[in-house]
Amino acid sequence: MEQKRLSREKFSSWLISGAGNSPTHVLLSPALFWILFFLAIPGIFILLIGFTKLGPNESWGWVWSTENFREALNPFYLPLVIRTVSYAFLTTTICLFLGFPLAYYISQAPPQYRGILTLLLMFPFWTSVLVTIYSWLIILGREGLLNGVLMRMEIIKTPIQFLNTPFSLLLGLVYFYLPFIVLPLTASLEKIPGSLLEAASDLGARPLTRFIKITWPLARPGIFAGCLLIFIPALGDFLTAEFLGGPRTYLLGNLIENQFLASQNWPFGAALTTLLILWLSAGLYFYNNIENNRL
Amino acid sequence: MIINEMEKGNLEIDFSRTSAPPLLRIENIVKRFASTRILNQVSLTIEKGEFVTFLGPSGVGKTTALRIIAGFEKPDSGRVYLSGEDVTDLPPYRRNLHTVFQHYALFPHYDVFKNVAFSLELKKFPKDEIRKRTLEALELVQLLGFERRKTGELSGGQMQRVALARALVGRPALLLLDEPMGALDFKLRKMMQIELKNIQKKLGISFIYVTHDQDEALTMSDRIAVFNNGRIEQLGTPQEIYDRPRTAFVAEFVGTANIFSEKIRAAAGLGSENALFAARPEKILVHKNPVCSPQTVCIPSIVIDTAYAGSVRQVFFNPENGNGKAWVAYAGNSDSFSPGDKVWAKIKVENVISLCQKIEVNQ
Repeated sequence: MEQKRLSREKFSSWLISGAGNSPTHVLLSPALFWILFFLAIPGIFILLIGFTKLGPNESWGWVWSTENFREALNPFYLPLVIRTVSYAFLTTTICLFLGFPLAYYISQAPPQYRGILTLLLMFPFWTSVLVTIYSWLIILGREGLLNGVLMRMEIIKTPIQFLNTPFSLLLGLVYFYLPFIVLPLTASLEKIPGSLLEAASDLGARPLTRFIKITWPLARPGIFAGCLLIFIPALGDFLTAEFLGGPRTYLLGNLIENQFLASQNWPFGAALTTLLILWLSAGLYFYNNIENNRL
Repeated sequence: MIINEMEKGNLEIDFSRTSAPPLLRIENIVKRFASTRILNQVSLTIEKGEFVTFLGPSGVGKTTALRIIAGFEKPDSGRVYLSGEDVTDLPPYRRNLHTVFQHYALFPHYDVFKNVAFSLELKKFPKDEIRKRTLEALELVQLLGFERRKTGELSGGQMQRVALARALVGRPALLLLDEPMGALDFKLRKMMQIELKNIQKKLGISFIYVTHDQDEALTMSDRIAVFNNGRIEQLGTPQEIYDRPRTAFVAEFVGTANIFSEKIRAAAGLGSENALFAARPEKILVHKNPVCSPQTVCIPSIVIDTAYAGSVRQVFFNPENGNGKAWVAYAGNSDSFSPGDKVWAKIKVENVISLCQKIEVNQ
């Protein structure tokens, strides 16, 4: 606790004292401007818009109101929130289970291959998101590749509805977010010295015990970072849900998107966005506290 | 009990095995990485309670040999036996030995107590037994009171002690130490050497100690295996290794040796053609006058330089008929020699070491 306060004081004194001649600030200034213009200012706008109100004839009146927030907290939206959190959670869990072996494999590969393997992992990012989504449509469609193969092999008689189901949505989400956990996990696993694993074996740990007692705890920072990198954008996802999901998979992201685009109700959309950010920050704060107390 | 069983005829006695098998036996170990042979037909037997050092410069295979014994590497051919049991194909966690790693390899997410208790907890000992034995091990390495320290808060010497306690707590039959003092400073190293030797004697555990430090090897070991080019070039007690090195490599790696050139050998009338001889610096007397007597080798020389070395003065000189490589001898501090002095190097014949030209493939 004491230490935390100290570091906070140090940070603020650094902010104040270095303002004049410190080269740190000169070097950091582009980044600081970036954060200011593209994060802080839009964030403040969103917050402010959330407190305005749509006027008559759908015109935009700058009337101070908390109505949007009250509406956003309406229990009517609770199932939607639960559904969104569930999908984000499921996506994160599946990505963790699929990503861990992959990250482990990459981290154990000879150094000269690691770069290539990481590059292959990033391959999907070289194509536009829309293109990859359309290719999933082609694969999963009623007359798509997957159904075609299954029918040709006579495993099924009539095509299966893959698209616009929870399955296709999850598949899409996992597909898009998998690399986000593999990268930090690989970095974390790489940092575990091989001698620690050898020491554990030497002291009598079988491979599974060694994994539970040494590898997993030491990879926690990577696991945590990766899960966050997936969970947060998955909570706000709307693109995947729109194309690969169906009527039963309407997510929070879709609701927000609709407020800004289709229904042109910016104030309500802004209120939803603000609340989402608040929840996430609170959750992160508590998790961080727990994690700090553990260590 | 045994007699009862024998009477019932249930017990078969294997008469071929008259005495207990040695603690460790490695036979004809060969290990290649890519196409280079790291180990070439290494064989060795270690008895219970022995302190054996693998000595050699880096890259001669001594660490690889240790890793094969520990089970981290598999030999390409050859076998490893622990107490008579063939463990060549067993993984490390099924061998009754522990390792102290070069950089300690302490678990950073555990405190000192949990690090030391690791192997006991895996064996599912009762809680109070774990506590008792862990504290005993910490006491042995003089770290009582450090149980709750994090590994990051320890000094190098303390980490080394924790690593030692962690490996000793399970009371293995054999402890492997891979250059454990490499990262310690000189004084601490000297202290730890004595402590380590005492612990080893007290517990009666066999140690295999890998080092490139000849002083360490000479002071601590019961036997030394000098490694060179993937082979054990000589195996013997420290005294044997120092007094009767078998090859020029051993003579020069352990201590300092002045190797006789062929011309010096011929002039001194030693051995037959191309036989190899050497002399330790402390066995050479440097005189300003020719005081040769029978039973000595006397070599006229020119002093190149002298160096003060505390208890002695090192005299560097060029022996007549030498191959250009300077020799060194130790003189008293009061003796004064200056570069260019003509001197005689006198060595008693019994102090001349006879070396093998080449080591035999199988020892």
